[in-house]
Amino acid sequence: MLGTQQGGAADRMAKEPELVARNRRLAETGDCVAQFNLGNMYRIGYQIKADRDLAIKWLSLAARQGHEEATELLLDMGVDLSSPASVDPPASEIVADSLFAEEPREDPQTLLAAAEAGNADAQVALGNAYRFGTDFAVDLEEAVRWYRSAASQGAALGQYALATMFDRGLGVEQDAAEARSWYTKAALQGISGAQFNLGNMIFQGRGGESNPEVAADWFRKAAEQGDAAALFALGALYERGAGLPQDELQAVKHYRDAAERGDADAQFNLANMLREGRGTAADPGEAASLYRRAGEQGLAAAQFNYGLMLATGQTIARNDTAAARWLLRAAEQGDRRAQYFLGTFHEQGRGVSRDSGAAFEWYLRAATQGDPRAQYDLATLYAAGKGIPADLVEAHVWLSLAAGSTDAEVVEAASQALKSLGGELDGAALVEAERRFRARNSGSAS
Amino acid sequence: MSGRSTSFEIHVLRDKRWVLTEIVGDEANAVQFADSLLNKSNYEAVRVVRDFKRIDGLHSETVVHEKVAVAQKAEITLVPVSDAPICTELAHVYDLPSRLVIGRLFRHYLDEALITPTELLHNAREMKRLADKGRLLMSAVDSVASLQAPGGGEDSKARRDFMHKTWDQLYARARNATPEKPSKSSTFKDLLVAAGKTAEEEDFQCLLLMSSQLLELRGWLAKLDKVLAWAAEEEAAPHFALIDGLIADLTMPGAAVQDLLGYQPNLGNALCHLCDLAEGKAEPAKFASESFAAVNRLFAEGRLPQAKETLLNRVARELRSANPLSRNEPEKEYEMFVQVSSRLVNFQGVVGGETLAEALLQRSAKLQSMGGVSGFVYAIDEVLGILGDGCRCTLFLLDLAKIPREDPGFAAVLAQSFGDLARNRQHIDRWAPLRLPPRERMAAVTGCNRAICNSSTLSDGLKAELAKRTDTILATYLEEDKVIEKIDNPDDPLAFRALRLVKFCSSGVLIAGKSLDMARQRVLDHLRQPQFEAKFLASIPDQAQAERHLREFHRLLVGSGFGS
Repeated sequence: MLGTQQGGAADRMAKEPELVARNRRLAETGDCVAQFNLGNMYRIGYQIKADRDLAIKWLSLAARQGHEEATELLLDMGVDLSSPASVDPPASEIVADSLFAEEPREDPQTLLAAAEAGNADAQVALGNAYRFGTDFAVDLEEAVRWYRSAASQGAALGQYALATMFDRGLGVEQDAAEARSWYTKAALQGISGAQFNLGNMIFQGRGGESNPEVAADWFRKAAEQGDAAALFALGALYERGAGLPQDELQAVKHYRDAAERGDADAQFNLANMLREGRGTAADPGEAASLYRRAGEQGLAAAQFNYGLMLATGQTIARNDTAAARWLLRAAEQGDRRAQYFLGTFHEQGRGVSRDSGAAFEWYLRAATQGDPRAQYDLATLYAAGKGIPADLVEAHVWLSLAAGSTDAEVVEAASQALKSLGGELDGAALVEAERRFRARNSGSAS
Repeated sequence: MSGRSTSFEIHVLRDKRWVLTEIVGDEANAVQFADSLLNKSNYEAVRVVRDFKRIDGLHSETVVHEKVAVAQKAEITLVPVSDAPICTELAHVYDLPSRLVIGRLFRHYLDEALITPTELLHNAREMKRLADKGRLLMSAVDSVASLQAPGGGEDSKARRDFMHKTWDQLYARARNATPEKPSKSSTFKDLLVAAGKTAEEEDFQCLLLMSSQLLELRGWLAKLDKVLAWAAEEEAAPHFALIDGLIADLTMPGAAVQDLLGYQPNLGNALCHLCDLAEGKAEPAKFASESFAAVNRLFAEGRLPQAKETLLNRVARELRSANPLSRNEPEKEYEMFVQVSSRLVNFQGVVGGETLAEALLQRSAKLQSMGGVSGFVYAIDEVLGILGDGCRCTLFLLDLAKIPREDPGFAAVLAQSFGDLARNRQHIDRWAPLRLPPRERMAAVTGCNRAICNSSTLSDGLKAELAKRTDTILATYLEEDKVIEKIDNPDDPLAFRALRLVKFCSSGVLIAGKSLDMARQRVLDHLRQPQFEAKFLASIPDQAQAERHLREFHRLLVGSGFGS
């Protein structure tokens, strides 16, 4: 029974030193200080045999309740709290006939024979085999040849595949008008992917005129077949009021439908609306969960937002380590806001070890992309010689860039800093700073 | 004898492509070399092509020799199993838990022979064929005996002896019951009549006759169609457990499930679809079998408890396996885990109970690449984070708590998670999703409260704490959202207000605690006002209708416990 003392544990406690037994008793009722104490005893082997796994167990329980020292100890022990790997996961069960272990594939010779005999389905499958290099070496022109053959027989999937080749210029010269024409043929036969792509082309005016209302119609046709991308597109049109009357309730409804089908963009947009309470009651908890789902699928903006939510701890439990991990994922994809925050994390030792060099690197990447806060903080590192040898000229350059930004707060701070820094530079240095500033400014402008 | 204008190319078939490996000048040497390549290497085939250079410079090619490798049949092996329920008497072997183990252990053999465990156990010829299949049966007995011996208090030799003896009895029973002349008629009605004429137990004999018919069919779906045809007969109704058992067996093989379900983009989708089917709520997917709708209907009618258990058993095993939920799009692995988690845990509890709750947890631990008690902490947190609302989190934890565990650390982790829910979630928004309609939100909290109070695994302290929290949450919600005021709208006639209130009290969406007391108090306030009934009747112009409503009101009052 949960919450009551187990017989076995009671026996063991009787043999344990009083200090260990007392802490264990409290730890098992959820007392985080006792959990920390017990974990630490296991870690160093104090009055009890050292046991790394048990140490991690109890320290993790304490850390989970926000015990900062437990978190630090776990980090010292090399445990990545956001992705722990100290004990092997449970053994996997062998499922001899697992579902969908492998995609069933037609024998290539049979496929070839059927395609040559004029079977349109086989021609599409053969085109796919040439396109994706399954059973045959990749040959995009050959793929186009088979798709065209199927398409000319009226096979919807052949028309759709051929349209995609024209749309992307694969194995054939890119031709938006031709793509639009084949998408239309496939869309009229009910292929949801073609309906969605056609909607996109019509919305963007590729291969013909732009017409948001007609685009919305095609998106709707695809959405009715459960196409997640089309549901997302409809949500976006409702949110923006393009091609459809602006309607945030409808936007939320369509985003939710798409999000539940796993569409990362829809998850992100829905999360934004839930966070801001637009078109729905505000639900920051669900927003965080949706950011996480979109972030796990690789959407940098979602990774950044989720990281920030973890860092602030306003709607979900604060977890600097996890925040740093998410910011890193977004930063590595080039998100400048994530790069800036990751720089601050490294500078402050939040969720990662304090490392001015790493802070410098991330500030530099964000600053180069024009982030004013990063430009300012980068300048302060140059001025203080933290993470990089001191270089007042470079500091001046980055402060000048920050002072020219549109962020009022940064502009004011940078202007103040420039004044005091100006006094420390001689004329030649100021000229050099001015030269570098112009070069960088023109570089960023171009 | 060939001139210089003739050469012989040796081609080998590799990955379904002919590849030139050697050119020799002599045909006999070429053939000999090609044959030796086939014997020594893993090529699928070899061929010798004579290339003749004509006088006009063109080449003419002729295949003069071609040989295909004899496919080496892989030896059929057992599939390892980690658990096997103990059978203490013959009848247990025919039960579903035993058949599930047979279905897993002999999966390769059963797939090759295209037979189900029931067909195997009800056909002497098939039993003999298995027994004659090398050491397969012996190995299976060894494997199961070594699993069962520690739990059953026997040594594995005694267990092995028992199982061999049982097998002999099973065989003898099937052999003795086999009719000399098999029935030609294949309706369920005729099979029943035939079964009734023997000394054997009717259900066994019936299954034996059905198995005999099913063994004639060479496809899982063909067998399923046959069983569905029996199921449609009136005479099958009193014997539906037999039909259920056969369908359960036919939903064991992966290939059968896959054909039944139709196209599924990945394993995660397939598992969600299996849950839908097991609950009779599935829509046929692209390329789904024609039998799908009929099977789904039987599940919806609740007539296939064994088949349901079989499908959910597969879901659990697939979750415990290392097979990715999204093989083709690895970046969607977490997303599929979210979708599977959300499908499995609803406001009634975990589909499939503690078995699937534990399987979900194991999959979560694998996603984190961590095991042990520490992994348990993170795995639980991951699932709770996905579920989000306190109601489903509690129901998931309640099912997890039913699993006995040796290490008290696990219980400590669960106790802490329950404690966190009770202490840190102080508003209904943290317990029931905002997107749900008010009635569903209240029902979710009430259902959760009921599950807490009925739990036999929670300590009294935790139970009281959680029950109090959910009760308070709901009462606060009624106050904050003025739910009772909205029902008891003063602009409406008193009769309607009173009726709505008493219906609200008996709707089951309120907790027998603060929230129900609040609603009941409002009803009592009405009842206690002077001349309530007169006012009630006066509030509706149509006297006959007013009296009807009053009678209904009194009936509901009694039903809601106001009369006692």
